[in-house]
Order: sequence, then C-alpha cells, then structure tokens
Amino acid sequence: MRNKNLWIILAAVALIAAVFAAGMLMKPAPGTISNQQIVTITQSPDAPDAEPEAYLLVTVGGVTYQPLPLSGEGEFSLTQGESGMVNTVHVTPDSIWMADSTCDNQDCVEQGIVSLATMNDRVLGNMIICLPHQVTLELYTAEEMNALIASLEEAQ
Amino acid sequence: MMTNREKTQRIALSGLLVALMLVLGYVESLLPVAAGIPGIKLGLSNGILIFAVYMLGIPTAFVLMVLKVVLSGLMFGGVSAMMYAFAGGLLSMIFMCLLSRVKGVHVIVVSMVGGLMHNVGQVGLAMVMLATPKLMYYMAILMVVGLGCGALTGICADSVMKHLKKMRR
Repeated sequence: MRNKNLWIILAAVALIAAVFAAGMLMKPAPGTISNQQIVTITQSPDAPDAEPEAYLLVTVGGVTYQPLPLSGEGEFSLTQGESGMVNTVHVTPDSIWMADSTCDNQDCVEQGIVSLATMNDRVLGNMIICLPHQVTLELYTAEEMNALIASLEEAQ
Repeated sequence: MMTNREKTQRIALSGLLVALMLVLGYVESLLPVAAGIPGIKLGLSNGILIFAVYMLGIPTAFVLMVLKVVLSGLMFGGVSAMMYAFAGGLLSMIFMCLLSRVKGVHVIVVSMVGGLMHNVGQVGLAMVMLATPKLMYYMAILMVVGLGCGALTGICADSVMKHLKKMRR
C-alpha cells in the first residue's frame, strides 16, 4: 500500500528534476525580431558614443521588437492601443525594471530590478514579465545580443 | 438517488465551501510569501477541493473549482488572471480526481500532486501565452512549492476528514 504513495512522490520529484534540467539547458532565443523600433533612448550625456554593455529586448503580445541598446538612463511607456494597458519601463546602462504598470496584480513591478550583476541569480533570470499585458522585458549583455543577432541571421 | 434533504444539505455545504475558498484565497494573497517571485501562493483552497473530492464526489468538486475560479476572479480583479487560475485548477483537479480513485493512495499524496499540477498548469499556460519556453526553471521552483504546500493542505484536509468520520459514529 505504501509503495504506491512512494512511487507517486518519486515520479513527481523526477518530473521536477526533468523540468529543472530543461530550464537550465534550454536558452532559446526569440524566433523572429520584428523590424520595428520600440523607442529610442537619448544618449547619456556622461559617455556619448560609448559601446552599450547591455540591451533590452521587449516583447509585447508575441511581437519582439528591435533590441534597445542601453546607452543611457531613461524611462518610457509601452501603451497597447486603446486597451488601457500601459507599462512604464525604466532603463539604466546596466539594468532594467518595470517602474509602473496598469495591470491589476503588479507582479511585474514587484519583480524588481534586473541588472547585469543579478541577471543570473534571479528566479526569472533576465526577464521581467507582465502576464496580464503580455509584456516581456529581457536584459541581454552585449555578447549575448551579438550572439542572438548572429544566430537569427544564420537562420534566415 | 438522494433525498431532498440530502440534496439541500449538499447545496448548503457547497456554498459554505466556496465561501471558505474565497476567503482563503483572499487571506493568502495578503501573506507576503517570496517577494519578487510572482505566483507563489499557499494554495489553501486546494485543501478544500480535496475535501470536496472525497466527501462530496468528483462532479460537485469540479463545480466548486469552477465557481471558485470565476468568483475570485470577479471579486479580486484580474479577469486575465482567471485564465491562469482555471488552467491550474483544471489540471490539478484532473490529477486529484484520478488519483483519489486509485486504491492505496493517501490523501496527502493526492493533495501534493494537486498542488504541483496547479502550478504546472499556471506556468504552462504562461509559457504558451508568451510563446516562450524560458519559464522552465521558474516552473521547476513552483512545482517544488506546489508539492510542499500541497502536503500542508493535505495534512489539514486529512485531519478534518478523519475527525468527521469519528464524529459521525
């Protein structure tokens, strides 16, 4: 009798381990990046023409926009038409966070800051997700972004 | 067939259980569990659903789950959240109902699997909606949490049911 319970628990643990392994191994890239520019950030006056260390990749409703080089600090809003869904994103040269959102659960704001220092330690990794608005923010290092763009160009 | 008295009792008990689930859902949303990790909930309502599966039967338990999802979605805002709650609730109920029919499986284990599957459903739907498999690591963590919380609620439900059986004699 007790055997069945044990088997079920072991199966559950095995499933968790499999999902965990899949999560660690898979680092998939978005399939396509649309040509649209989401917004431009004004260059930081301290270091104009500096090479950006990080990029922000924004996905809204399944559409991934052109990566935004984080060459300065700024804040911008993502407004989805007339729906009232507005997400305010704050970026600095090495971090991103959701400053504000009109969604009802505010999880995206509470997910905190993704910086180059913390992006590998967070539970959600380099992502900030607003589920109700289907908005995903991802921080990429310059190397990762170059690799991403290269792999997309190969695929074409 | 049930007598009218039994039917009335069942309706009254169902109403009570739904109200209990709504209150538990509200209370658990107040508890600051793991800030920065969205979706970590104690899943206290699962304990009630387990109770319903064993004491009221599977069809009624299913209705209770749907009612809870719809009502808490309407009351506590988040019609979009309702989708995810429904995905989690559905998957968890399917597994809990199936396992409850298998002889020799303990209530606590059924509850653990229910908690685990609830989170699988929720994160799974998120991965589909956002069209990204990147949430796998996050899902693994939530699965562990679901297993743990399922154990806790399972222990509660089990105690309640054992005491009820004693009282009925």
